[in-house]
Amino acid sequence: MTIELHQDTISLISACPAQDAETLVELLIQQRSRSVDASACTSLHSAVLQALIAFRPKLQSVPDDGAIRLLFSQALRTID
Amino acid sequence: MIRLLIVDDSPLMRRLLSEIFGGEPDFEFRVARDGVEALAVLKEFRPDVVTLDVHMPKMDGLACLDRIMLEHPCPVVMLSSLTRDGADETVTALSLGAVDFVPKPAGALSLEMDAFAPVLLEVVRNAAQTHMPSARRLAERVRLRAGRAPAGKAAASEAGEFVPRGGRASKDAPALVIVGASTGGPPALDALLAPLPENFGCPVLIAQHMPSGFTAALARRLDSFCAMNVVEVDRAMPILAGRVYIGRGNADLIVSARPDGLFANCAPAAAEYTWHPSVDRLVESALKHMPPEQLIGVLMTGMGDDGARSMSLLHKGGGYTIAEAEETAVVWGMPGALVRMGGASEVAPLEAISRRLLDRVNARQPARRTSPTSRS
Amino acid sequence: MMHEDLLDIFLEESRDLVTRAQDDLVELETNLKDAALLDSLFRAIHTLKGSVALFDWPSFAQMLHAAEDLLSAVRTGAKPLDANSIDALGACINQTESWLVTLETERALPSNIATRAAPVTHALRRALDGGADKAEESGSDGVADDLAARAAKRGLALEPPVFLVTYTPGRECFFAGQDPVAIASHAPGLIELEIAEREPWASLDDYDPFACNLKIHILSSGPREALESAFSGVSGRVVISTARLSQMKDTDAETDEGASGAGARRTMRVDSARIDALMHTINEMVVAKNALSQLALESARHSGEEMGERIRDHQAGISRLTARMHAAVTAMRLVPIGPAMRRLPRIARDLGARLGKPVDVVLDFEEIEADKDVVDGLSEPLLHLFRNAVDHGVESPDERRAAGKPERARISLSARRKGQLVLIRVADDGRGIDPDHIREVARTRALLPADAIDALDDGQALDLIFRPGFTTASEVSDVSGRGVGMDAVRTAVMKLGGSVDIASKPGEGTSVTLTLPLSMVLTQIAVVDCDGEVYGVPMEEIVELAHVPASEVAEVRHGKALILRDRPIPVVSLERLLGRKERPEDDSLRILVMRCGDELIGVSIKRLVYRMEAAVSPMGGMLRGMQGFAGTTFMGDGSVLIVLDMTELIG
Repeated sequence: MTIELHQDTISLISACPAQDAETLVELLIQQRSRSVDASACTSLHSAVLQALIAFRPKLQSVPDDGAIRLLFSQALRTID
Repeated sequence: MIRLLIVDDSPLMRRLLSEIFGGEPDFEFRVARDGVEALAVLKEFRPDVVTLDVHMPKMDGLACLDRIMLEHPCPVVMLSSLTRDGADETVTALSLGAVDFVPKPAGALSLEMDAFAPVLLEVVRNAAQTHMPSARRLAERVRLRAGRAPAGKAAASEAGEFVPRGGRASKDAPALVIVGASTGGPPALDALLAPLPENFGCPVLIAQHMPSGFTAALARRLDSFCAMNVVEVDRAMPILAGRVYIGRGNADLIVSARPDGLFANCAPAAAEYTWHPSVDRLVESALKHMPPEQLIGVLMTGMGDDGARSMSLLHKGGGYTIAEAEETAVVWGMPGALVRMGGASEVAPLEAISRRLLDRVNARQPARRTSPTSRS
Repeated sequence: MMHEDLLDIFLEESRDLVTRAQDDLVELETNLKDAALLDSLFRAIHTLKGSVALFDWPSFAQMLHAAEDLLSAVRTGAKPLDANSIDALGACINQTESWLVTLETERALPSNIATRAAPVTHALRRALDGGADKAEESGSDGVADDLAARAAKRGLALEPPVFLVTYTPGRECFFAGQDPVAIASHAPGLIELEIAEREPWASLDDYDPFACNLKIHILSSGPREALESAFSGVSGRVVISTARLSQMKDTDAETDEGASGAGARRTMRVDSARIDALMHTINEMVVAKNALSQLALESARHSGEEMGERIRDHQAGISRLTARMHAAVTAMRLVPIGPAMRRLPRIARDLGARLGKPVDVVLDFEEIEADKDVVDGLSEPLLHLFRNAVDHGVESPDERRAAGKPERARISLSARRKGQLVLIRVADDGRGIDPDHIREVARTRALLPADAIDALDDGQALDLIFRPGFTTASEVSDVSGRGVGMDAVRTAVMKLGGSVDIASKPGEGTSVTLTLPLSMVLTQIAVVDCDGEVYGVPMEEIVELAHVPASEVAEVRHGKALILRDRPIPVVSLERLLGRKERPEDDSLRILVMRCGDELIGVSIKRLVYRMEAAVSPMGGMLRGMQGFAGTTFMGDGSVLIVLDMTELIG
């Protein structure tokens, strides 16, 4: 699994394919207060990024991977 | 040796097809330029299988198919274009007895020939193996052709009720029927859905293996003569009772939860599934949101084993599953696999399946639109 | 697998389809609503698309697919057939034809088809969308500025050119296996990226995770070709434009903001000598660039066509740049003509008062801007024309009264802009010039042989006053001065690249018209060979260069004719037009098809040597007045090239 739920934190792990968007959205719809930990994310499909843009969950941490961190900052205007 | 008759009006396509089959040692083939020529060749060549262009001058593909079915019934593979008209005609052709079809490489799909040839070869080889159900009586074909627009069908609006997240309050009331089909599926769906009434108590979700473009045509055709509203799922839409949802081709059909209830949605085809729309992915997604005992799985004619694994799980979890019987299935692949895995609650011939669904759904269905608990 | 004979069948089938599509489109242009034509065109494109899809040319298929979509929308009435659509479809069909030709000879398509197809596909999609995103585009500069500011924050310096890519993926793109963010984040020359929703979501309760709703902006250092090729798979969804950044605008021109407040026109003073030096350098560059044509020709002969082609490519690039530089400097040099004109009335009145001839001056001119050299050079000849008018043209009040004219004479000065020319006219209502008197003077001064003088018509006789040494003032006054005649006026105007004409009616008055260029204009010239000599032909008069077998040129009653696209066109040889000896006919003819009024005329030439651009000066000196010559220019090697006036030659 590339998406895991631990308590109230959704973790994106390694490369998240398009179908993860559905999982992510379901988890966020169930409970909008859940936050997202993207530190272990190495790449993500547009559909997943779009879900983050749409739901704007609280980001616990941005990806460690430099290229994808830049992408996060550019799409979600997080400060890096 | 497979005896093949190629019928196509385009010199380019004829050449292409000749190249493809000419390179295969197990094929012996003849070529006809139009329907009239095809019927003449048919009499003396006696092919095992025919590839037929949907659009032809002189006699169009459907008329030709009709004559083939009358004069020399044999498996026919339609070669069709992805236009809306082409898709409609192809779906009609499948109901008229064509075994399968292959989209011609065209447009956005831009199938290169390297990709087209193996698909074509596989489909034609498989088609040659199928034995024609002899039940295709003329009267039945005429009925299918004419279509029966049911009178007074409710406008596709507020007719149904939401299927709540987590299933119905009443624990064993069926909430969802899931149908999987592949080769030979379209005529089987005709037979399955036509008898179901407008107030059928469950939504029906269907994964019929098909390329995109053809599923919309399939939905239009079914909607034209079924009492239930039939729609193609090309975006997220609430799952309402009394509706039939056909998964869009080249994509997967999934069940997903939204605050108001369950939604059907199409998702990009996931690589880990071989066939699309995937029956397994559909069943798995439904199992995520509903208890198995509220699901009914129906696995019908088709090559391979898609749906067998997930419907076995459904069966083990307490859900009800029906496998189409070998005698009516054009290809007893998928239902056969389900039976072998011990996942079938019952095995039934095609014409009996809709009766079984009516018995299970409408009999055990709580009174509709009365339960205040049906909405969560 | 690419089957040779499959390709042959394809080519055979497609040739007919392209021809049909071309014919249909041409007819549709005049008959926008003809449903049968539209159907026929649609079917042709549809079939082409299907056939092309059988081969491995995705961008080719995509282009035809876009054309089919457009036609389909037109057929259903969802979209009217307009000029944009026709143009886009025409471009598509032409591109298809050109690739068919390539396939026929090369048996394969070049690797750059994606780059070539992209703009056509885009134009087709734009025609279909009806330019709906125009508003967005004009607003894009703000986006570019935002992105630039963010890049600057990260310490990135922007060097122009910078490109703004606006990528609007389709709603269904995830289903086609596309990952727009991945495509965008791998864009070449990526500086900054913005990913946002295209439209806000109405409600997240029915959020569809697989319906793409993104809009992506990219700031890239390019190059444009690399961007086009990176986005070629989604070309219909991408707009690439050169970003105009406000930061850069500031560096365009230094400003003296200190003195002026907001809204002040940003100007700076530059010594005109510096601009002149710049202009001079640019003109030298233009000449030097022209030498490349010859070089391309020679290297094609010696090192093969490919080398020649590469040099020509570079020449085309340099050509565009010099044209731009030329235009920029030309614009810098423009000054209004008003000040030079406004001082003339006072001078004329003062002069009239001194000579006892009351004069009214009527000024009538538009505020025209012309090259500084032209405006500066105008003063002298204009002053001279005014003095002449007051001194010689206008009668004394007594004479005027006797002739039934008002005592006060009237001189008018007008200036009009006509295309790239300015026409300045000085007219008086004086005694006019008697052509016989001019002839007499010419005879006594032996300006021309007597019989030649007798042969001149009145207009030609009048023109004699511009000859050096001609002066008709019976008495030498301090006004006109000694030795300064109309010849000085003509020389001065010709130096500016202009010409002078005179008209007069005895008893009614005289008018002199100066025709001057607004600026030094570069003309595209085809250099052609005629009987061993080279001549220039202005490209703007050439419709096309046809290459036809001699057998296609038929003898007709008065000469020869060529049937070009169902239209008979008379053909003459350049040698014959120039009165040279006819050259023996080759098996094939090179024919310049020229527009001559409403008619097309073919001029057969031995060969087209090369093309160049230059400032053409009108004919001067001995060549002046020769029919059929537009002027002269200098060639790359410094020799003089005579530029022909084909309309006059053929006429």
